[in-house]
Amino acid sequence: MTTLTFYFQVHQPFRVRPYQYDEIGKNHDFFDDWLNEDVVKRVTSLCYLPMNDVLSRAIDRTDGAVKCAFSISGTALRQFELWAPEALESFAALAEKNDSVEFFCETSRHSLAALADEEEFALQVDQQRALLKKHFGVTPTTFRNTELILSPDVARQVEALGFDLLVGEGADGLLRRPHEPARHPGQLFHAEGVPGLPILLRDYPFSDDIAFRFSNQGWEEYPLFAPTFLRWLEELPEERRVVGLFMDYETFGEHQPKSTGVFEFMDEMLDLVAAHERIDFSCPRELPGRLDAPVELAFDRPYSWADAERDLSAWLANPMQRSAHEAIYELGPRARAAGGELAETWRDLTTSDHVYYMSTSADTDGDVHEYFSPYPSPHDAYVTVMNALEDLRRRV
Amino acid sequence: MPHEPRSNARGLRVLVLGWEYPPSVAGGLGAACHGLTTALARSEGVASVTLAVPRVRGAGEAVDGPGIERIEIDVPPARGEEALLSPYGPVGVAAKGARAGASRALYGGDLGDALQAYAAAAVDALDARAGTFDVIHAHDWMTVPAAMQLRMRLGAPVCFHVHSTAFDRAGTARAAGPLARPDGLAARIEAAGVRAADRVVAVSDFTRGVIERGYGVRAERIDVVHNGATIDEAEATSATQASGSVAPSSDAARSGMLSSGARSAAGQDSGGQGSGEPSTEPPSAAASIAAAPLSSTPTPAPADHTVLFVGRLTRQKGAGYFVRAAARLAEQRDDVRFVVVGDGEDLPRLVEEAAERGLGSRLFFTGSVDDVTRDRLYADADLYVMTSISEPFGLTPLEALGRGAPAILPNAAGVCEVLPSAPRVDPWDTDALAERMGELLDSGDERARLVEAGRAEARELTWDRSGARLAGVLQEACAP
Repeated sequence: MTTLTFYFQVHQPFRVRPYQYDEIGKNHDFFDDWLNEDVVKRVTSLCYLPMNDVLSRAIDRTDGAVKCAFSISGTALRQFELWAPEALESFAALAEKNDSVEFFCETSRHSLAALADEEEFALQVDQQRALLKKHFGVTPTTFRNTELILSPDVARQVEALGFDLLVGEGADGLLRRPHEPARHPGQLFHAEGVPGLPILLRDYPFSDDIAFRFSNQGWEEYPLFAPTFLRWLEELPEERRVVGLFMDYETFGEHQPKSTGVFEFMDEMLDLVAAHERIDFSCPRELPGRLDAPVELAFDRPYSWADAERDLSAWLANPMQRSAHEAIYELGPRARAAGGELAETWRDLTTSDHVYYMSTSADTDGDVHEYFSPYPSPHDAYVTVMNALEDLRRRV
Repeated sequence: MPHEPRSNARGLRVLVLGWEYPPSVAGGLGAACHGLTTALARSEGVASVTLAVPRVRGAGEAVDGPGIERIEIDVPPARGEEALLSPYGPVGVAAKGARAGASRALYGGDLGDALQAYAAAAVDALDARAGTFDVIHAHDWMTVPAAMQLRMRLGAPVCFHVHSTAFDRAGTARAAGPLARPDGLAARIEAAGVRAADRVVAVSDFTRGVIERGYGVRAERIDVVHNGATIDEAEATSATQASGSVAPSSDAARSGMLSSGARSAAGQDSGGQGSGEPSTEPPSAAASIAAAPLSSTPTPAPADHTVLFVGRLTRQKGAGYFVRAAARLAEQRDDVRFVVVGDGEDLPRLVEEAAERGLGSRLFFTGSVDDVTRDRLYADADLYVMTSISEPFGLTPLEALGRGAPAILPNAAGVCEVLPSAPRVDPWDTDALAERMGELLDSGDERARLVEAGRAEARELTWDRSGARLAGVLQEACAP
């Protein structure tokens, strides 16, 4: 039996508008409300509502055999409250299908706090738990760290916060180590030194078939139809007990537009799996009880699901990114001491997207960075964020 | 070299050949030509001034002072990117809006063709007026082909006024392309111009030296006429007092996210609450919706010092030395903030260098700013630093003094000659520059003294003084 676990990441950052040096100390309103509202409304209508509908109907007509998990960042939840309440209602309706839909916990700001500030990490996790309780009435037991950034130190922090399962990237560097037989991601793992916290890895080839390659007309498998995808799953060897299909939720209708047929593909695929004899769906939280004991994973460095390198270079590679990252977390103790709105504004600057926009990687991943960035250049992103941070620094 | 104005009963009849001139101003050249030409028309011994300039469509209404006849010359519209040949760089570093349009029109891709067209059209327009001019006053290398052809047609001597040289502009070669290289078209025309002209005027002793050494022109054929400067003296405001307007005022803010600025302005109108919902609940961490404090209460800057750089970010302006000196000073003390105003090809490299040198929270880049913002930045600064490698004149220190900021000057700048009181450094000696900055920041008295002395010197720099001196040089050019 092979079980599929879908996990969809929902995230929207509070983007900072072009904020000039001249405004520091005078105009404290540096988030780009108009752009943020525009984006969240657009993605709600293109993706969140139609895809929630696809999932909701599939769960109903299969009597709950279709299952999936979501992680919705706290910043996205706040943007729904502000500008897209219909998205919040739609996710809340999914949350009522309790046995089929799981919600992960993450940091409330989609931040890199786990790498920089353990105290802040715990605080943001608490905030996110409270948000999930408030909006969906759920208590999450699975944890997803920002961009699947994973290391033994992250695992240790997550275990200490009481979670039962952690998700990560099934990176080649983790699974194919020199002088060792290659391992497959279809089993549970644990980080070295943290045996008590099982880790479920993403199967990136299968995930990317849907998330990246689906509409690529240069791909030899284009166009991909659900029966083909299912045949690939059927051909998996017996020991591949689980396939982690993790992707940005915005894949559906936003990165892959409706015209690509991605909704129809998912509709059919969900039905085919639900009716299949040897393949089914699980919520990730079910897996520790369903699969064999976790196998130890050795880490040579932190891993993530971003860029070809699957490391931290999407956020912390160049001097601008490191400079901004350090400056942001340096302000943490003062921001927390100031408390209230100032602390929450500072937290909105911890969102990883801000340093992601400063990436200068020139290869194909550069295009991905550019696709997401509201700035004309990485240097504009850096200058803008440092200005905003300076305004905040003068107030805390 | 003294000039005895030749007594001339009817006075000099001057033909001025300009390239950049109001209303089409791309940078400082237009302002300098305008200041010189209007002052010349007012000068004793000058009977008439006829001004021939390219016609730039959409540049606006031309308003010339009394005694100036304007002839507009049709030149083909330039295509492609502007070449960065504007001799002074854009005034106040902004190259946006109307200025960018003028800059493209005047320094666009087909500049070589445009110069020839300007020369041919100028000859056509002025051919019939042989004998009605005593002297041709040609501004910068762009007008040299026209000046040389008109000299033969009109039988009048040429005085070539050099505002910058290819040696200064070499710093912009990468952006400007082959035209601006020291061995490019501009340099060859310029070399021919300084050698063939009957007299040469340089904007500074510094530039005279460059022409002498670079082009082998004998020093006695070169006169120096410093530009005038109308400095706008404002009371110095300390950083803590400056609060000003809260709306984003720079070009970049407007062109970037207009809607966002509009919204914040609307928020201020409705009582300073900004655009968010006022929080009515006690701030529970998880439930806090409007995390951004949106009030626009001015927050005083910390009692830090601010050191300012203003200039186009090209090699010529040496902003890299400023960044390195800032890093040096920032290692020694943490009460100094650095601000780099301007845009240019070096901006990305400078931003990365500042980040790499740990100046992320200490050094800020404003990009291009409008004149109002620039003046406010001068007023907020405790110290202005110019780091040019080679600066024919250099107006920004005078602007800074006008707003109350003393200036450290580079040795290789013409402006040093008119501001003898100002401290000078070799900008590439970044340790010495950092040390000088530190000393001045520690002494408010010394800074105040420098502003007083600099302003007194700047007050002498009237355009009328420059015009009278220029009239003397032109008389000399007419002397047999």
